[in-house]
Amino acid sequence: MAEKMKRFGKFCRKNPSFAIGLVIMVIILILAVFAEWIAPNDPYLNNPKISLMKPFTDWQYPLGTDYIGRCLLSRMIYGIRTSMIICLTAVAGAVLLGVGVGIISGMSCPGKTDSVLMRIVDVQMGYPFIVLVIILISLFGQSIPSLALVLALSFWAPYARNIRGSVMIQKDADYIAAARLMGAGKGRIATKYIGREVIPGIIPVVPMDLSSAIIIESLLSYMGLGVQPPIISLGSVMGDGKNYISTNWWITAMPGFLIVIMTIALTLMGDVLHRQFDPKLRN
Amino acid sequence: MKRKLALMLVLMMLVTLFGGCGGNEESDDGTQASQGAEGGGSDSDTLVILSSGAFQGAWDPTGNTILSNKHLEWNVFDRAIHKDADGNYIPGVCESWEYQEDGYTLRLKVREGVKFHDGSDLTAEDVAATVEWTTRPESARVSDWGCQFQANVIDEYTVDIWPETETPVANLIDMLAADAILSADDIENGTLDTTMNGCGPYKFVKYENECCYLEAFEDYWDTENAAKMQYCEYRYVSEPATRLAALQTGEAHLIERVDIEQVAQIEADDSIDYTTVDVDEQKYMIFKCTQDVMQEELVRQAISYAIDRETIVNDIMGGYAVLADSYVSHVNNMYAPAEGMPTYDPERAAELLAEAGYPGGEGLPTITYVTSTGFYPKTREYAEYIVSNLNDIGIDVELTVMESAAWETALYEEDSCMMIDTGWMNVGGDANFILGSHYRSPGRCNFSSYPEIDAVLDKESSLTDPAERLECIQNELYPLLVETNTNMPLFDSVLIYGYVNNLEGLEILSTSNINFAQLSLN
Amino acid sequence: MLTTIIKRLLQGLLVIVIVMVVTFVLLRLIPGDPARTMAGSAGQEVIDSIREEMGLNDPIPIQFVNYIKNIFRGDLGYSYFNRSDVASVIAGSYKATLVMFALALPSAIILGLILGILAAVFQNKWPDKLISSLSVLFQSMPNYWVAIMLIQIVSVRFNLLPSTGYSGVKSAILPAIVLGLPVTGTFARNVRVNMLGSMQQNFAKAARARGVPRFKVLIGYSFRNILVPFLTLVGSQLGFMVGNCLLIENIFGYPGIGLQTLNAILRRDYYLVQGLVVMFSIIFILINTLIDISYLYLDPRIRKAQGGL
Repeated sequence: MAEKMKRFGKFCRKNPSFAIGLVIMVIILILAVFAEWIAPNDPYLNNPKISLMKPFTDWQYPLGTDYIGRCLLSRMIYGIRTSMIICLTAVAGAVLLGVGVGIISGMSCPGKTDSVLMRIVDVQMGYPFIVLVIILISLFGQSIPSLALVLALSFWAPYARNIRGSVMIQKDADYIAAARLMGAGKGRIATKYIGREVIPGIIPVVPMDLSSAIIIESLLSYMGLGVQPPIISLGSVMGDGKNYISTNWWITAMPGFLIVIMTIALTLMGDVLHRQFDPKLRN
Repeated sequence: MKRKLALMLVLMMLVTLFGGCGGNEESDDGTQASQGAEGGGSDSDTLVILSSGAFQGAWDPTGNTILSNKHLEWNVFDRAIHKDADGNYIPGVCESWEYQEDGYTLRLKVREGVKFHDGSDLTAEDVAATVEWTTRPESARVSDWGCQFQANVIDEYTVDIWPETETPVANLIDMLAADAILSADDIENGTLDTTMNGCGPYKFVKYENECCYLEAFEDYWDTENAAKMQYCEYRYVSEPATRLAALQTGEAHLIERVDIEQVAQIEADDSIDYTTVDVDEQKYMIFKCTQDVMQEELVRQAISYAIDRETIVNDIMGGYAVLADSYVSHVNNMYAPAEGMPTYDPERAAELLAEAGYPGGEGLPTITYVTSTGFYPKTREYAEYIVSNLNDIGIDVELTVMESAAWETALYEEDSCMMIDTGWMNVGGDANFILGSHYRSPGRCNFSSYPEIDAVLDKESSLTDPAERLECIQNELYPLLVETNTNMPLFDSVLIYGYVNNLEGLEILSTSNINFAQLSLN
Repeated sequence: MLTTIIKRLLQGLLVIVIVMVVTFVLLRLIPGDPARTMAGSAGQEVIDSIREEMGLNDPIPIQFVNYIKNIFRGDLGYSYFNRSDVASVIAGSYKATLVMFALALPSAIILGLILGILAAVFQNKWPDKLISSLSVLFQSMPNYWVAIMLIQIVSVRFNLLPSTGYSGVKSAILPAIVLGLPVTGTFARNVRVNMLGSMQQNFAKAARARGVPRFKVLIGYSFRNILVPFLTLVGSQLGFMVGNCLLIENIFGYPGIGLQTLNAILRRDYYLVQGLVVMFSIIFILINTLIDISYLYLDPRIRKAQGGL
């Protein structure tokens, strides 16, 4: 364990951009987990008398207030939690589904299973994503699980396709052929394959998709399709401000900055991971 | 080598597929712009007005109560009777009207020389067919008229109309001043939905991509009030920020429903201005009176007393609303303050709740509350505030914010929720549109049934003397509405319109209709 | 080769049928009644007569059979809100969207390729750092915010371009920028990473060792090697762009397919939504089939995996 920590420490020293991204994400996760203790005010408490207060004018409300006088900073801190729950679940779901389908499909190619699975992937990819999202959200309601499900559904198909592609290429690679010659079953080959190719291939993409999920969540909230009040997400705080964009810009801009910071942190991490895990880039 | 070629081909295909189409587009547009009527708002003979509501292309005026369609109809169709600036009735396409001896039959004298946009002449035949068509049971307008009407053509330019109930109808003149005169041929041929053929100052050219194109009608009978601009485009733009930007750039000349926050932006811009209008639209909280605890008058009253309407009006609506103190808007023809209507009083609310057997909200189920987003301004904002008001007295509320199609269905469904907020623009201008629809059993949205209210409504609708009718409504109807509290009025709407400084002749009626013909660019 | 293409297209047809069924069923399951949206606050009688006219009172399976029957007659159905058949609604609004994509996609591809290659060539130097941070920024700025800022600055402040509607190519520029920016960022980042990988591979190194000029190695060897992943990316980003175009067209009041789609869903204009979804699917499938076929040329390993086609 200590050895691993040491190695991780060394890795971080060698890749400062990864360390920066990691620190930002850890801070953000701490904010999300300990929102109750960190937020300066009750995020639900409204006071229309002090609505639309500018940021940095009153230190009780550091980032100002929204249209019914709720503390913007507190709402953002609580919002991170919901957004992280939705997006992490969504990406995890998408990865599981996509990798599963991709491997099964790739291993059985050419064959019936592969054809059926690939047609499902085609339908998913050929369906205008936003239309599906609007329809599904109208159907399942605007709850956290339904948003996570909808986002997962919109991310899994590319995973399946890519994994299938690389399985098809690697299937005949020497090490797999050797394993097969030695009598390993399909399941064993698949596991071996996962260890060697899939996980390294997935890890760098996860932060990217996580950041896309955060952006899409905010987009849905903007269109009025995000979580329902009183639940707060980063997107919903941002969407709340959409009518005020030209005059009271901070309601949208503050959570917007936070989203950009999170995205950049995730991208920094993703880039380093990509370099680390991509066999082509490893020296 | 072959591979390189293939790759080049694929790339070229992609680029030419998109690029090529774009190229053609340019020449297309060149010719289009020169056609004038379709060009942008910069053309000096085209007036561009941005609507905040979408149009629906089944044009029959009796088939819907969609506000943007009504605004359009106001300009394309004409009405039997007009109203002047002081609210007096003046001749429209009918020169005179007079009750016959029986007290309920109205004889209308139709103006000679009035033409429809298709070139045909307006005769008594058309007026008769219009009245019968507008009041048929499947008409969206029949509830305003109160009952079905029959018509009898006396001669080419004289027609008698009377209600089937053979009792006087209080708001008949108002209805004749509100509803479109249609062509008998269109009614007979079933072409009303396909196009709009009216006898108003603007004729309808086409509807394309959310925009209605209008053109001045040269043969409009009232030459003094003919359209001042040759072309008019009435376009639906859903985003308030975009509407304002289009006004600032001069692409549009008049925009509907400016957001409260945008007023400061308009004030800072020298080339544009805004105006506010107190319109005949009231926002209410509707209680679904057949659902669970909503059957109990005490619970409904407790909720009504708990809503802090003053704060909603002053702080959330920024003062661009008027606190409701009656069951119709303060600009309505039957407005009179309703004595004893609930006001914000959380202590009284808690008492009522205890009296109903739910002290501190104990034993009360979670109240389901639906509101809309993207339809009326700030619904979500005040809904969230109302929820916190109700939480204060111990009522648990589950708020659902719906997009407008789902919300609209929920509004007219009996068991969609326990309470829902809405606002109705009084498109006809008479109080019966609101009173008859909401409070006559079963209420259109609240599903309440009170025979005593029905009786008063019957009485009120037959009083042709406005003063007498108002007295009946104020003293007999409003106390019943206060007592039963099936709808809780929140506030009367104030709308903000933005316009370019060189726009002249802007007058917005309390029904939110605007006579486009009077508008011109200086 | 031909059989593969035919097989691909047949599979595409199957996908379209599934898309049709899914849309048909889902649309009718979600709350909201088109008749109500059309009639406003009118009474139940009005709603019933509209439902009757629209054929919404029939059981759903019968509605579906009728729909399919009509499709074989070349009739995509009727949009009640537009009072015209679905095909002409699409025909009336596709132009504006096509112009927007014609501006956005090729620019994004070209810019993405140039920026990505530049960043890779100057790895870890200032052009790389600048390009990389710009790409991340492009990707993470919420597009509605970009749209409103562009309108405020370009249209309102400087009055350079129109902010709403469609009156020629100039109306398409701002929406196209908003549409293209995030994709440009994605392209650039993808190209950079893949180029770096490709440049370090043995064949590139070997070519350099053989004395092939640097530029030629870059374009002839490394660049060619990244085209398969790049094409896949373009294919998958197209879906993302179509999704964004709904929102962007709405903000700009830009009368294209996206605005029609959004309004059709919001109004529950069933047949119009169906027609549009099927149209999108056909486009996606055609493009993805094209990309798949191009793989066969570009990557011999896949050609082998497909059975030597």
